[in-house]
Amino acid sequence: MPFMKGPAPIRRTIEYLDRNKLVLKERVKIFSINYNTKGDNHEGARQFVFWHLPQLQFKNPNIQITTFKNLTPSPFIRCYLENGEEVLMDVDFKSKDEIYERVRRIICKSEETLKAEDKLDNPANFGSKCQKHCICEVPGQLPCPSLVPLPKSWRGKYKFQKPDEL
Amino acid sequence: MFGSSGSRVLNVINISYLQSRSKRVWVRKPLGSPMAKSKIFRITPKPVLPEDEKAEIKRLFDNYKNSMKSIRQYFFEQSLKQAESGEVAQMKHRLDDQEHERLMEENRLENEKTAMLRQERLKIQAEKAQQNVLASLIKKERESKLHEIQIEDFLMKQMSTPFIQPENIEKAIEDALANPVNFNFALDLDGYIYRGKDTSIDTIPEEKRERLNSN
Repeated sequence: MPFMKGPAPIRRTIEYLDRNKLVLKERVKIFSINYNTKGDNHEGARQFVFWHLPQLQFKNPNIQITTFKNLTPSPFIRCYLENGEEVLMDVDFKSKDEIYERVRRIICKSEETLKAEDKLDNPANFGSKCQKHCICEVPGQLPCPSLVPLPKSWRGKYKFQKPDEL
Repeated sequence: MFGSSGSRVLNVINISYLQSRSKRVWVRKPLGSPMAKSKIFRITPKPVLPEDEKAEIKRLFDNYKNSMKSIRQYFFEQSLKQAESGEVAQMKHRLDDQEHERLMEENRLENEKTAMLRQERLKIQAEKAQQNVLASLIKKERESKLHEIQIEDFLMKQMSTPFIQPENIEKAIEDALANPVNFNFALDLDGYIYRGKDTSIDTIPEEKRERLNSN
């Protein structure tokens, strides 16, 4: 199997894209980052864009993420929220890890929220993306009505049927 | 002929997965088998509806679908609103807003810190630049002075060499005519030089020979 093309193609693997905690809060609608291609104080921002921007977009497919290059002397991140508010983060001379931590702390969902919203881990959720598809799969619960019909008194169509109106 | 499975499991979903102990029930023809001879040239009569009936049916159907869809969406929005207005949801909103305020404050402080650091860095850079400029200016001045001195030296040297001015020209000509310079010479293997064109070696006594020094 040949190598994947391009610099650091691990950034394009699903595992890499999935394994991060950069889920932005719902109120953030646009995420934009300004940086230059040359300059020591922009190095952290450049590295952040190179390594973490694909992850960010993967986890937030419905948020607009833009980059502006070579416009200002110092780099910054600007997020536009639902109510028109803007969050400005100055990242002059910061390293990529510092920027990552800051973004995560300020405008991403916290660990507890993510855990609470996670459908897969919680066995109380049923559905397509959860551990079990239906509660009838749990031993000790009612069997699936498609296999064993429910008694007529429990079925809505018989409960609300008005025989004299028929 | 059709090679159906030997087990007696009914293969229709949603009726029963319970095994039947009676005769095997025919549910459908196996998928790979050919069409029966009595059925291959069968042309099923297509149900024909007149155009206006079709249009009427479509109109009714569209109206029904539109109404149902809009009702359903309205109920969905209402239920969302209800969820929002409940006590738990409101408290959650309030907590979220507070958290947001706190985080914005934190962000602002960080920004200020970064701004301070940036100011200092820029100040240091400006000072360095100033010093560099000063140093280069001084260097340039020094060099220009040196250059001037050199020019003066050169001029002095040139002045001191005996140039022939228009006043001295006749004297110079007379001098040159009176003292002809003969550049011819010969060298000896012993290192003695004999100047002049017509000097013969025998006429010069041994002591008066010039030694060619290697200066």
